[in-house]
Amino acid sequence: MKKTRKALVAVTAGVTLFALTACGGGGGGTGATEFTDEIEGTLNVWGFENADEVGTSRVEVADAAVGESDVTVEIEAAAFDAQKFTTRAASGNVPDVVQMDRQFVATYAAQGLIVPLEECFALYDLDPDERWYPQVVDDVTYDDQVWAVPQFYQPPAILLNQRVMDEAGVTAEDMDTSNPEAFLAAVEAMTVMDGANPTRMGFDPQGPTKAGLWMLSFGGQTINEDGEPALDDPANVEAVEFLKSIYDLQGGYANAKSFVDSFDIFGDNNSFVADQVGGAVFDQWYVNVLTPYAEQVQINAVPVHSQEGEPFTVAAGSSFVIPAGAENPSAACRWLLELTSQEAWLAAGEARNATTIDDPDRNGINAGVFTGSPAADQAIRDEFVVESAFPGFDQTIATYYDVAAEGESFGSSPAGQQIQTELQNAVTAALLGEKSTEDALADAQDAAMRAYNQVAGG
Amino acid sequence: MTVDTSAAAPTLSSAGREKPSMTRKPRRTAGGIVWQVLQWVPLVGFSLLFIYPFAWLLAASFKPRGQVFDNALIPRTFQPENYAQVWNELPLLNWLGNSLFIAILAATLVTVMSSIVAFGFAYFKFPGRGILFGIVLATMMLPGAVTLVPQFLIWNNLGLVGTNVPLWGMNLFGSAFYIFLQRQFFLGLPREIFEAARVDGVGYWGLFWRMAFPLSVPSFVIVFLFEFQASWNNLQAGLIYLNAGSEEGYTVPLGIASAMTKYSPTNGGHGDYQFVMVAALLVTLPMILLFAFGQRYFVEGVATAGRKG
Amino acid sequence: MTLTKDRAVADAAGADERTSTEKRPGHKAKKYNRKEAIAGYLFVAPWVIGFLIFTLGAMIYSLVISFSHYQLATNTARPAGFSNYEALVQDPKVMMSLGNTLYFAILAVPLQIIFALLLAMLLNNATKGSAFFRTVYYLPKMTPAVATAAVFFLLLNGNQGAINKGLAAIGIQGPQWLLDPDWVKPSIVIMTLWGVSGTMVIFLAALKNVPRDLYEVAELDGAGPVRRFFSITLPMISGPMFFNVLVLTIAALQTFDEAYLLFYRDTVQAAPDASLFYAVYLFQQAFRQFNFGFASAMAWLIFVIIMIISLIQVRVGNRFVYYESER
Repeated sequence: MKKTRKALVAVTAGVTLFALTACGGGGGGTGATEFTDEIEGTLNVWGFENADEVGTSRVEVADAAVGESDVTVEIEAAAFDAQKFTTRAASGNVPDVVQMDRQFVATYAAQGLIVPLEECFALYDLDPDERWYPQVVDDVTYDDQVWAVPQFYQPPAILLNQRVMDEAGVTAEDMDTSNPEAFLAAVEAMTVMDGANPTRMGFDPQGPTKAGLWMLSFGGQTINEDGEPALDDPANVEAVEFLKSIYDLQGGYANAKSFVDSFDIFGDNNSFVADQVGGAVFDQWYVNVLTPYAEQVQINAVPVHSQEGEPFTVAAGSSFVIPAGAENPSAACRWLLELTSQEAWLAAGEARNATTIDDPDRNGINAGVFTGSPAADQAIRDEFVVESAFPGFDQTIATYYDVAAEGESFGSSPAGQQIQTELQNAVTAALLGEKSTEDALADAQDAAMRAYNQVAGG
Repeated sequence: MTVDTSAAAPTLSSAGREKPSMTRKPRRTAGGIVWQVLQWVPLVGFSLLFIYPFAWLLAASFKPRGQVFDNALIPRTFQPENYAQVWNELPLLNWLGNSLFIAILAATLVTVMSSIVAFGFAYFKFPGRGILFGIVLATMMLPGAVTLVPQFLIWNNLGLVGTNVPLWGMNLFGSAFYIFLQRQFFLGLPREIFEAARVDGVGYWGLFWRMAFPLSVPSFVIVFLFEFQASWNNLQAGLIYLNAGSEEGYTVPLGIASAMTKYSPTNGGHGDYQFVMVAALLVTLPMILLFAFGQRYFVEGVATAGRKG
Repeated sequence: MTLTKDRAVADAAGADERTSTEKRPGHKAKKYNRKEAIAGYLFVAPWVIGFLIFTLGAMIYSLVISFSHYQLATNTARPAGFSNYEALVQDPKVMMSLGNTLYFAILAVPLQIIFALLLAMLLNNATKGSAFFRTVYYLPKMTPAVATAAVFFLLLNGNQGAINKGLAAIGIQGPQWLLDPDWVKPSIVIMTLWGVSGTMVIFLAALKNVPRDLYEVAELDGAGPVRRFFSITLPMISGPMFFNVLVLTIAALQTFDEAYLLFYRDTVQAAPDASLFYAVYLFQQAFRQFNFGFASAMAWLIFVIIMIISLIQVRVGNRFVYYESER
């Protein structure tokens, strides 16, 4: 017994010491990836958490296309996790396709953890700027190369609660963010307070999470043309001050935020059913959440306006990348292009239609599918988004479709994640009054710049 | 100077036990009864404060989504289906199995290995023993932060990040606090019985395996329970090592943390916190059971650690 | 656990002394039985090997990494000189998180000590049912931090949470616990107070060891309860008190679970600066950004700080602690 124990300990010690001294090497090879159209083998995909009919129908189309070439697709349904991705890349254990938010793409491109897709596109004669909205392509462009296949497009706009507006005598025209004073007056008119706490918010601007939208709409920027952070842009300060004055009308950020946290966002008693908000910034998907309650809510929408008075939104959404060291990049390339083809999107539109039009719970409202591709959006809108019994919903859906084309890209930066984190923390600090807006944004700029130098310098 | 056996070893001494002769005799007078009631007011009051979150958790785990926040201790809508649905919503069975596996393995390894090492320090005389044991004690002070990164790199180079090996692997080498605890216990055993066994031809391993080991069951139980609890509750190691693996490989704490995020509306979740509450209850229950059966050991283990100060 | 060090070393030395003097009085140099010594080494070998690799080796490795820029993705490091240590000063978040952590420790430790002692004294005085109440008080200590956090996350909600509803019932407008920068740390203190029973048990054991006759004599001398507390109870439990302060301080300086679960679990959600604890920032730098060099430098900073604080406490403690068992 003692001998075996000794041996075990010795072996463990030996192995570990070897590991200690033998660091170096390991995964992350960044040799050029070759794409061919002769594909075979297994394709490992990482993504599609909570896939709905829009996801599964397209996966079917793509699987069928690559299945002809004897490729089997295996999907690990999981949310993107930055830590998981980097750790796996370090051990060389990566899938062939990863789904991630477009704002993270440049980070991994800069670190050499994913491969550029120019060659993949060339193989199938695809021009990214033709296939997708230019602002969407900008999101995933870094160092003059395109690194991801864009998927959805989630333009934010302002959802309005007509009942609350009527009660307060506010009209949709008042909810024009290019006229801050009138906007604030309308917000104040709709807000109902109980002491220091709101019981009805006139307007929920989703402060920190949508801070980037507000900054860009004020003419500011979060990332400059060189991919560096630009959080201290003077227009950003104005935008945050505007957010602050919206919250100040409603008990301050802390009180408003914990009110919002208690909303039953997806439930029977959501904030539009319960008249807990007069208006709120929401991405397009929220309309889908509200369709089952069409009888109980009266909604409307207006776009956010730039300070020049133009309808405005930002390009945000998900995309797919191929990691460096993927075992089957060629199959990945083909599968991704099939997954986001016009055919796949139409199949998705049809699947969505089947679940909405015929579903009495959804009141016959098809809120559409929003993709990175203008042609697909147009086709789905023309074919499936038909007039419903609820003009408010029809107007809302049209508003989202119309503003999508106006979307502006945040830009791409190798420190995209950290810029996003610093931005949110700074806005939170400013809204809570921990720091002045200028100081908060200046500190965030310093921190983001440090992160940028660390990534870009390495 | 002699070794203080009464304080050192038999850890199951005065800590948990009442000393009847010492306590004041309750006076059977009106004043005595009033006095007793007055004492009970704060005791009961604090009990309610300590129990309330448990009652709240139990109630919330039976509520539908929209009511989790409502603080009602008796759910307005009683929804026991949560307990059926949670298994489909989250791979909770996997998480519980992983946590149990890791906790049992970690606790068993650390109990056995620490006890072997402790016996080495308690019984044998060899050059450098005092210094080595001093180092054992010194490592108890070391903030974990210093070794966090290099340990990760060691496991990463062994290709074991993403597996649960790092969550119990280091227990193969024993652990300073437990070595200290068990050495105290061994020192309390009379040396003479070992000397006698040596004369009878028992080998060194036999001294430990056949004599010391069976005699020190109480301290084993303490060490085992402590490590089981520590392992069961460990969040950070899961975050560092298991996050890189698949969701099915998570421990319960890591799983609950990820479920809280998954259901958070800011992350596109639907606010299904009732499932988090069910999972939180299910991760707590084994600990309550463990305490119900091992209360004596927990209390005495903690008290022993304190008394050594 | 720390304080045990000196005492235990003394014990160990004592044991050696005893056996050697018994056998060979007058001999300074110890003679060892060779076989026994080898067996002893083999018994302690597992720990020695673990120490050399996962503690000493890891510490040296950590020091080396702290002078490099480590790229996890490619598993390569390039020399960084002192730049990671310079960054400790340049990055305001390091000092901010350190300040938050120290502030938390200064707030939490005294409250934990007072509350735990109060509970222990209540239990100690109770004539009946003390075992039952002790069990109830101990339950939170058994609750995994993740469950505690999940519950308190909702209990502490500023508008809907039970705590503020309770306060409102007695006419107090409760704060926005988890959002208001001034109340973030008190929120975590409340969570730790709920789980203070480990400390309580140590006090309870100590209180039970205080000889009753001391109180009786003092009572005869006309000392009131307050006087008895300060001149008998406190000195008699000063050892465990000191131990608790030290252990709680070290734990407070390494607070991670609560802050992480309440504020940094969700990477999309922003958190107030006031909630950034040192251990959380270190974790983020190490395992979210994978800045291993910088994180290692941060680890050495907190190592030095904890050492200094512990040494000061030991110094101060040695002056005041009354060791009843000193012989």
